[in-house]
Amino acid sequence: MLTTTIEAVLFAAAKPIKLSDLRKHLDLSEEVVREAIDDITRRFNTEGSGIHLMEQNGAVQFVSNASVGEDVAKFLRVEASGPLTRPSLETLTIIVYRGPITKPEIEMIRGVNCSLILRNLLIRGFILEEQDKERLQPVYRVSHEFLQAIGVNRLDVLPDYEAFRTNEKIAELLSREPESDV
Amino acid sequence: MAFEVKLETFDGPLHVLLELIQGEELPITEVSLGSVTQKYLEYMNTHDVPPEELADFLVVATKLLLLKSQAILPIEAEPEEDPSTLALQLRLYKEFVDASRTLEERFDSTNWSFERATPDVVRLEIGEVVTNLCAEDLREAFSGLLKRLEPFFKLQTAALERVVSVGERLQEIHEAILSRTKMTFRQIASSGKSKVDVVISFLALLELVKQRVVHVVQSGVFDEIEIKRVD
Repeated sequence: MLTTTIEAVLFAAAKPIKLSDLRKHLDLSEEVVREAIDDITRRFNTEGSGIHLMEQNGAVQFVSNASVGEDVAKFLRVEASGPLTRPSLETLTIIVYRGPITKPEIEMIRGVNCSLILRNLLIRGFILEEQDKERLQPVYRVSHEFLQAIGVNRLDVLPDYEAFRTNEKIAELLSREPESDV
Repeated sequence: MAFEVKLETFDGPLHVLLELIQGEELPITEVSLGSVTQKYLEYMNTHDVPPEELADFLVVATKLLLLKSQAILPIEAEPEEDPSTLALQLRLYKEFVDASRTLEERFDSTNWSFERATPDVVRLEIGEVVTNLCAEDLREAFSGLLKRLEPFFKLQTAALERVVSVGERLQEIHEAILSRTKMTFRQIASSGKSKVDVVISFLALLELVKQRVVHVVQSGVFDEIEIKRVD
């Protein structure tokens, strides 16, 4: 019953809905919401289903199955968005694998100023900017729109996702960040 | 803004370095970094590095020079600046560049998913519904509407009224002054039917003065403006 309610809300809302909002409005515990979402994901995210559940940034959203994306695009008369330049692609990759991440951290990895690229990616709606209260600066993560553009329902299905997230060398490099900030 | 487009497509210093090392088929080590220093500096000389990125390019250049000098002169590295960071940085950077290829393939393929489009719902406010209307009410309402529209129609006729253009008036005054050598503005303006006409006459007169066809004299405020031909 509970799963049905959540499923119905997600369908009707169409936009990404935060798990925390579901919890608040339906007065549920975190575990119950998690279980319901996992249940919906199991039932919907199959090859044969036209609708999949996408999860990113702690928010879920129903989207169409990416494997039939071309036909849907044709029907909706949607055209491919312009190509990504190599610098923006690199920046996006860093945010995909290491987000939420700050600008100095991205710049530490790329070795170059990224302000303009980040601004353009924000304009294109591929990334989101949020204030991190602990780090006292904005952090960046990729948006649901970007996941739709690359046709994945969650980031951890990407190759080597865990390896990148837990890479000690990257953590070590990023911890040296203040030195580059002189 | 051309430079912005350029800045977004310009490869960063690490990318340049990575391509140099891979072009030489060298492993990413401090030694190979030192050996491509010359090529890196050449790259900086032959390419227009955007000013915004120049500092970042120079940082890498200094690190390379430090590495190279250490390879030649076996002096112990200063502990505060460890140039081996550059090799580590480049190795990690390469991993992201490799990962970006998968991402690019996915981005370029047509495997897109779509969110449900939110329909543009227009909620109509249902206003007061009037009942028991009779034909007379409708007639009154319609004549009321016409009355409200009246000023609008008046405005239109006014706008359409024929007005002599400045050019035409200029011609008239010019011809008049040719036959008379001397006349007053009052004589010209008296033929005018409206304020607009007087204004146009005055504009035409100013234009003639500017063209130095006539010469005007007015002895005091509100006095007669005398117009004379310039010979």
